Amino acid sequence: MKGIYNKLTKEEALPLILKEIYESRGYEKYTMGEFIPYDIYMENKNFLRDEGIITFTGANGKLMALKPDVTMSVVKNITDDTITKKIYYYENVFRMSNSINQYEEINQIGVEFIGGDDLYSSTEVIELAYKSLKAISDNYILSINDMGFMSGLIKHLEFNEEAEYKLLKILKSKSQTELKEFCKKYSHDDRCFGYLAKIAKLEGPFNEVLEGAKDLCLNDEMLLALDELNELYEALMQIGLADNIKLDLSIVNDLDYYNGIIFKGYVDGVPTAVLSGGRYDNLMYRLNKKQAAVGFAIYLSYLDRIMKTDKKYDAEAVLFYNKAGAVEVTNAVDLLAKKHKSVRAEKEDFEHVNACYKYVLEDGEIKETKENA
Amino acid sequence: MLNIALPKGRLGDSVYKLLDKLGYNCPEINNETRKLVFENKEKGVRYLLVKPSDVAVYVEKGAADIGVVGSDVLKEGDNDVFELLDLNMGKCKMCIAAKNGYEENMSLPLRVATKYPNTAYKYFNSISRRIEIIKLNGSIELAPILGLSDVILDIVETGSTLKGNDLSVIKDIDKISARLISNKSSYQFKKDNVDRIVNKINEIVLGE
Repeated sequence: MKGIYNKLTKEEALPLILKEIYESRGYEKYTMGEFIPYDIYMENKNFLRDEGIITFTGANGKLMALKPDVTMSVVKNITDDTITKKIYYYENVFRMSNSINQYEEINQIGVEFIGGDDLYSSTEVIELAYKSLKAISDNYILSINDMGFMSGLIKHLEFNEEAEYKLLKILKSKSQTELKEFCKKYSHDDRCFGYLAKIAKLEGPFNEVLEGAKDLCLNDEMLLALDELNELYEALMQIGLADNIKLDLSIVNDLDYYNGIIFKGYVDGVPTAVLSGGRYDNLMYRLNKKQAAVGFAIYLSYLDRIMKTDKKYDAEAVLFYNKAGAVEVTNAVDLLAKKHKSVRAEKEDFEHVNACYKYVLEDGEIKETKENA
Repeated sequence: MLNIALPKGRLGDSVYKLLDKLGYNCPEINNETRKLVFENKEKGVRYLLVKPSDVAVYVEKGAADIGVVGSDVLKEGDNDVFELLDLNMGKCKMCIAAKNGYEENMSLPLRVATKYPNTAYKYFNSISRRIEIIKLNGSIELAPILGLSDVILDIVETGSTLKGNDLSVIKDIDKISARLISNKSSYQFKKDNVDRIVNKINEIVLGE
């Protein structure tokens, strides 16, 4: 079996490499079904608004969903007496694509650390994220933020739910013009735009951004978030993971779901983030779970384009057998397979089959065609 | 190499002039050719000339690293990109216009002809007005004249097209201007390159 590992394409090997990384830290595999009762998503309405869940009616008339996410059902499976749980999953999730009304199937691999509430748990998960990105590409960036910074700001500026949703959406695009409009409409504080504009721009090396963000803290929650980021950075630096990491205060995600550390991973050549995760104690709390939790997912489907190597040949060798019998052909193919990685038998020299070596089976003999010479 | 998507037409021309001034020139672009891709290896830029309404898609999907696009297109497409700069060019307004003397009948859904169905839905939803969208791709002004729609929702620059067709603006709903956008991943890996252009443009735009 050993030899098989070397024969895998990068695309096939990646999930195995990632599995090895996660299992090396004691994470266990979690599997789930494709169909989920719709009810479990009812408690999180932002999730419903943004994810475009595909629903259908089950056999008993109950509304069902094609699983749009794995984390929610992992959380649902947590009982009160669970102390810690470390799992990874490799699943397909289904969503409505937001650009055109069209179903999307996304292949995901992810990690969840349930019950970890300290700096080590965040560091461990970030280490796993970091190593995963490294396994995907040599050129990668992990961008980190702490949601506490934004939620502190939102509380200080007393934004309502609608304003909060709009603000997070604008920050995702960093648009200064939209921020200005937003402040005009939702805030009476003249300094509002100044703060938000700076935050949208603050990104780069960890220490520089931390330094720049110090003056922007308006309350303890924001200060605490910066302290947390600082501690995390110190830890990452000391374990040698600070190189491709940056701090981006404009990274935001759903506040009902995430609190604390959040992060997004990019690899060169893929136009969107391929990894996304963070601490989601808020989601746990909303679903009546008392444990803390942190995790991430990698969208393997987004990697297709950079993982696929151009296919040069359909098979390494092709054998044209013309009128030879089934047994004779099978034996000939077996023989050739000892010499070549792949052998494809075809009745005639069809032009659509592209191979390195071409053989002809004639009078019980395998002959190399002239083209090979 | 930085791939820059420019909208074909007047806006693209003036943005290119600006970039030319900043040293990102590509003389070939001024020739009367039908080419759509122009490259200056020395300066490390490649210009892609695309349909204005497609710029945001090129950038979102990473075919271009940065691009220039009207905020009307950006809002309509809701594309997942970074918006780095308001270029203060290509300024106009998103308006609702109707035939002169038009009076709204509140007992019927409003028939809105537009190139911007998402923008229209969003706006009329926000004021709880029931509408029927008629999606057109050009000559929107014709719709109310022929009774195809009650009003139009479109961008208005000088208003002369409206005037010439016996229409007038009944409501401004948004200010439009050209924006410099960037792909989210390119912004991570080519940040220095992108920032250099942004800063140079910013100096000029702010200076004026």
